[in-house]
Amino acid sequence: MPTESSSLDLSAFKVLDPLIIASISLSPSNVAKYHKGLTTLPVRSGSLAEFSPDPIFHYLFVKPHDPQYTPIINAHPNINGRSLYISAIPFDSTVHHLRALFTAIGGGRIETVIFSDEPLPPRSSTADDRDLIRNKKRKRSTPAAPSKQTAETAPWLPLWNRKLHPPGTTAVAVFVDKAACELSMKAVTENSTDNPNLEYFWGSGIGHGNLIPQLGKTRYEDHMESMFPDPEWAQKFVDDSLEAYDNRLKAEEEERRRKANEPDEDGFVTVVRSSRPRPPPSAEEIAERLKKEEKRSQKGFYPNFYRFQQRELKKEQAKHLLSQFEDAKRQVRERKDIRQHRSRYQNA
Amino acid sequence: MVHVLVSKVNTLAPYFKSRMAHDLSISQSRNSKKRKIFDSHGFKDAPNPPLSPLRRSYQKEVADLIRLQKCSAQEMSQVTQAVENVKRVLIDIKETTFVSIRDAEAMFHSHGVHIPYPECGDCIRDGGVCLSSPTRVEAEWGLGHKMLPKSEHGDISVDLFIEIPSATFHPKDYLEYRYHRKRIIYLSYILLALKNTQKTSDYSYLADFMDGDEFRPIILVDCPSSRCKIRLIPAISLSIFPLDKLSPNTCRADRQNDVPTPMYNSSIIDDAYHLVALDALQKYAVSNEGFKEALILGRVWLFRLGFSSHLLDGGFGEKEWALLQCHLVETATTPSRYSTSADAFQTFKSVLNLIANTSIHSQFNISILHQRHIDFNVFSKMSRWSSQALIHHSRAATSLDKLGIPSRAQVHSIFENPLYHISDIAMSFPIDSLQIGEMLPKTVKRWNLKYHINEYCYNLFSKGLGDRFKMMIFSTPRPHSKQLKDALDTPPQNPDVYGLTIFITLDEKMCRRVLDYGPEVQDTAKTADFREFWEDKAELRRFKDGRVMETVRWDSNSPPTEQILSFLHRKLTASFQTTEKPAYQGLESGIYLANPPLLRPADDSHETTVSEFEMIANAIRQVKGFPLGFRKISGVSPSLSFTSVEPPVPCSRYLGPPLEGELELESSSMWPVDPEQRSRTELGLLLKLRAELEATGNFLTVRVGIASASRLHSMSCFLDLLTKRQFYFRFRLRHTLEILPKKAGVNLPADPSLGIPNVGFMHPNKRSSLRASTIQRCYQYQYFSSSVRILKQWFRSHHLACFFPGDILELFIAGVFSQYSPAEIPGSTYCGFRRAMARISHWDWRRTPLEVEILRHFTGDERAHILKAFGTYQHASPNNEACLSVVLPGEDGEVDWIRHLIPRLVAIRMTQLARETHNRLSSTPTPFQAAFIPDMSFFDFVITLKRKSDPHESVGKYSNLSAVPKKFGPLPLYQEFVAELKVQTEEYILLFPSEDSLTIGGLWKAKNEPNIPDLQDSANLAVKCGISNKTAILGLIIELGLGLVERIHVKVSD
Repeated sequence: MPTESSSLDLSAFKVLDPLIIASISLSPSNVAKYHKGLTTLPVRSGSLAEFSPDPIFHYLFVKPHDPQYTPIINAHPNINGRSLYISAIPFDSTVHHLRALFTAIGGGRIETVIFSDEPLPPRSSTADDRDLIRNKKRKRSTPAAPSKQTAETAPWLPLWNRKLHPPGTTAVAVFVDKAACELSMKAVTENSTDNPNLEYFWGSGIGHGNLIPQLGKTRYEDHMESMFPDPEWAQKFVDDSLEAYDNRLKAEEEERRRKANEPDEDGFVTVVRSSRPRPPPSAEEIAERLKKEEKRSQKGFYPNFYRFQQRELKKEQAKHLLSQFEDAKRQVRERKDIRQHRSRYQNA
Repeated sequence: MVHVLVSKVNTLAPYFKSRMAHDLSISQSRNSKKRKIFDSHGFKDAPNPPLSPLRRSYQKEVADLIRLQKCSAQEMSQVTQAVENVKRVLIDIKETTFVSIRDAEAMFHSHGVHIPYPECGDCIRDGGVCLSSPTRVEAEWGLGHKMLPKSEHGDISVDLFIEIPSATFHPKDYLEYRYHRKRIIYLSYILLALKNTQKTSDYSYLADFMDGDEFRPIILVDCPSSRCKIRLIPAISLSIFPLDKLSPNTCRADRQNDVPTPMYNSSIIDDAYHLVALDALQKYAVSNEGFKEALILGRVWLFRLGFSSHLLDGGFGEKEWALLQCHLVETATTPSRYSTSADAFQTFKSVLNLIANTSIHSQFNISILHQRHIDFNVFSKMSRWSSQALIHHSRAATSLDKLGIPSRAQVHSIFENPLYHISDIAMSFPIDSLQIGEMLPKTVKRWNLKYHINEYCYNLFSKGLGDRFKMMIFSTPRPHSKQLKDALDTPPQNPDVYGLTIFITLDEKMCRRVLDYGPEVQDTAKTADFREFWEDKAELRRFKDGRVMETVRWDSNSPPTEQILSFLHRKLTASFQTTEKPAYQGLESGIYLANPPLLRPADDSHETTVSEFEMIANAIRQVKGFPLGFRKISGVSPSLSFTSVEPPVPCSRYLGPPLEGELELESSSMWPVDPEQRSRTELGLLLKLRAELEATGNFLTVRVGIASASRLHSMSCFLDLLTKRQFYFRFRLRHTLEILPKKAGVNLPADPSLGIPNVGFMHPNKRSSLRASTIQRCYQYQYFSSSVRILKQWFRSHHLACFFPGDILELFIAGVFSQYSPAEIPGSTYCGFRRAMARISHWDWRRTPLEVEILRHFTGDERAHILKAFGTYQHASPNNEACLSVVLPGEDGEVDWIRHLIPRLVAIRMTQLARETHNRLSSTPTPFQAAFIPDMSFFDFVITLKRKSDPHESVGKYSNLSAVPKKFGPLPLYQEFVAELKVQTEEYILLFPSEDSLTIGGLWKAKNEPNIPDLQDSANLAVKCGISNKTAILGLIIELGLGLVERIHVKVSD
């Protein structure tokens, strides 16, 4: 086929080599240290290592995080002062990647990372949490509602073994304490574009215990397999979730009905559609319905549709006219008789 | 309301104008200013034109067209000056007397005047000849009306008729070339005078023939200063010769042979009628504006079809058209019909009607129309092929009237249609005129050899092709006019070898017939003739009904037409010493049998797939105990509607991309409202169906799969089936809840704020009905399916296919196969493709929607509404995206819209590539494959992926055919990779994956610095994170495609 790579005319192109990479790469000296209030942190990446021995740079933008965004505070109430905001994170970032990075540049220890493309966890108040932030004042005394994970909302099996971040994702790295955070920010400033000598490659230094699935072909093969779940699991998953859904609907319906009969605290009763059978129809309604039916039955009947009907109708009319004429004639004759009788009587 | 309509209709006119100008390569600088005003948005504020009834709107277009044809005042004054100079010289010429013709010739030779003329025997009765100044010198009618034809280089050509005085001729001079010899003498006499006069001596003089007729030389005066060429055409008065003795079936030259000399006879008659025709034309052109305009329309129409007065161009041009128009006016039964106010387009159509209905001469097989009941046939110069082609075109154009198409649409499709010229097969081969001349009769080959060779070839080809063709056009290179050199004594010679191209329009219903029937065996004369023609191909066959007939049977493996053409070429060149292979354009075998083939032959693989699909559909319908009934089970994949580029193949080793289908369920109120619960319910239903189908044991594997439908959490489920013949199908559920309200989808979006692009480019209901109509068209037209496939292949080769859904490409082809246009239904895949290319390259998607008239044609009102609606919608589309709109006539009087948003760059690329392909294929003889070689230099970088197995290559010797393939092949993996890569890099690069995803072209997007809002909403800090760090992006590609990407090529200039 003409689309085969061997038959394509690629004379205007060159396969990636160190020269080409050097000509298009963006070296740290060309990137400003501060950009709109964020500090630039160059990170070496070995993704093009097979084409060029020189490293390529990826640039992160870091600044202290100002947690005014309500959902984040709700999810992580005690991160004030110990979190950094990181923009333009690589697509394959994980907590482990960032942990390794900050360890390498001499920053503090990361407790957790909040990625902007991941749903925020529900607010937790477990014992571990309290242990970790023992010296902080709790602002609220009531614990948050426990997460409601029923069969109805049970998650589907994951289709991908590793989630990648879409472009434009940002992250908030939460450090164990304020000092660690400050130390990290300092390390970032020191290793910025004016001093890009850090020999750390993105993705290295992650502990062996943290198994991060490989990208590329194996990932897609794994995805293809995970698209077809075990039928038994699927059956159970569907049965459970639909049953739970039905039960919830039933419970809600019952609750609604119950409320229909009970006045609330102000004395009002919510009006709902009743499930009682309708009362038998009254005599008027029956008469009305009969009338309608009669009308409907007559609808299809046309008295003068056929020719013979029209002829008969005409005959009837003629007969009627004739009889009227006969009547009129009789009346006239009678009147005449009476008049004659009268005149005769008068003459007599 | 009416106001708006009118203004919208008027906005089309400038566009139409520009398109016509583009096609006719006529400069339009004069109108450009005006057009700009009309195009701009400021036109809205301009004063509204006075209300005119809509029905007259097409006249405006006609008027625009005519205005473009007129010459400027400056050009006209220069031409008039030159003509006046020549005229004055001719009138003042002195009288000369010669004792004999030979004397005269010798005298002119001695003065360096020699007009080349072939030797015509020594049968001149030597008598004295007296030459005097012409009786009349008249310029052609167009000079007074600023309507002179222009050549490609912008030179204006003007005819000057010179009446030779009657005293020059003897009444018997019409015999034996005497008239022609004296005509030459007279021309030499004029030429000498022109050369010797100071005023005209700086002009250059060329020798040419009147309309290529070698009987009648003329002088071409080239005036370089005024950029015009004056043709000096000798004429005679009507009364000199008895013209009734010159009927076509009489012999007036070479009388010893006694063979009729129709061309010789008509050459004399033609000269006698020059001035008569000119007088008539001038009379009508002055009194009747519509008459003049109709002449221009005729000129444009003939020019576009390639006809001209030249013998080799068909012998029917503007002059003959004008004579027909005069004939119409003279013979009109009602005087008012062609009165002064007559409409130009109506007159134009009347002439077409006249051509379409002229009688055919029984002997010469050409049309005849005798003007004023005398022996002057307007069609006398036409050859058989041109006569047939002209009648065919006229009938096609007049048939639009019978279909009830409004006049405006008719003007549009007759004058703007780019599909006219494209024939089904073009065949070109070198002709050795000396060798082929041997086959022609002696009397014929002396004059106009090329014309007679064309006639000979036409006879041969028309007999061989029989009813398989509708028309043939012969294209021969026209000889150039020669410089008149002093005393040059070489007679005009025909070039020995020249190229002949035959454009054949096939009858698409007949051209695939494998068996040709000849005469019955009893008819000995005809049988002998048949056997002589078909040689060893002729076979005697007995049929079931007892008849014994001569037949020719063609090999069913390759198209019969191609076999016939190569047979005929062999037959034609059998006696030649050396023969070259003819060059074809439009062969089916060039598409399927090339190496590598452009398309793989589909054979019956589509049918097999459809039957497998039907089997599954039946199995699903027979499932008992399923909670909902199946309303419809339909195929979505193009393989199921015969339009997939690759013919579907069974999965032998790997699972390939599945053939998609849809299960439509009966409506039910029990579906949960929550989309999450709905997808879980779907999963439950599919699991139930899976269990039932697995129990039947008819399938190798039955699986239920899950995929993420969108970036949101809702999942979509599907059912995968592998049949026993290893066809892999995938079915998705479609229930009534998904069906959107009709108004929101395909039909005119009343309110652009509805956000139509989010809904999808087509309503789901409409999509299924379109698919059904596509399948129907595949059965109806022989070449529909292959045309769609080749168009899709073209889009694929140029890495554009992923931006265009198959339905839109099918509509491009459906528009070409429409019967509501004067162009024929394509009779070859090549023709279907070329026409689609022509259509796409002429489509300005910024200004008009593509009208695809299937089912019915649009009414005038509908067109106005379409334009209005299009204007409203176009403003809503964003800047960097282009909206391709296609309109279809709907069923119940409504208009269906299909709108497809693609990156503007891609739309521009499509038009640009289509234009390139169209021009390349129509201008030079390029191999068809060249149109499919992508121009990779368009991309900034190219990613090549590792090539694994090809599903079409033959299975290895020892592979286990009965094993059930379980793993997916590389193609689905590649598709997943490309889809993810697109999401990851959409801000920085535009990807052009080829359909097999083996190469991916990439373009860096211009830096638009996307602003990503901070997590902190109060600060609202915009962070620039899109520095185009190209190496980082290339690194991303390598990392994401680990094990899939082979290498990345970057453009050297980078």
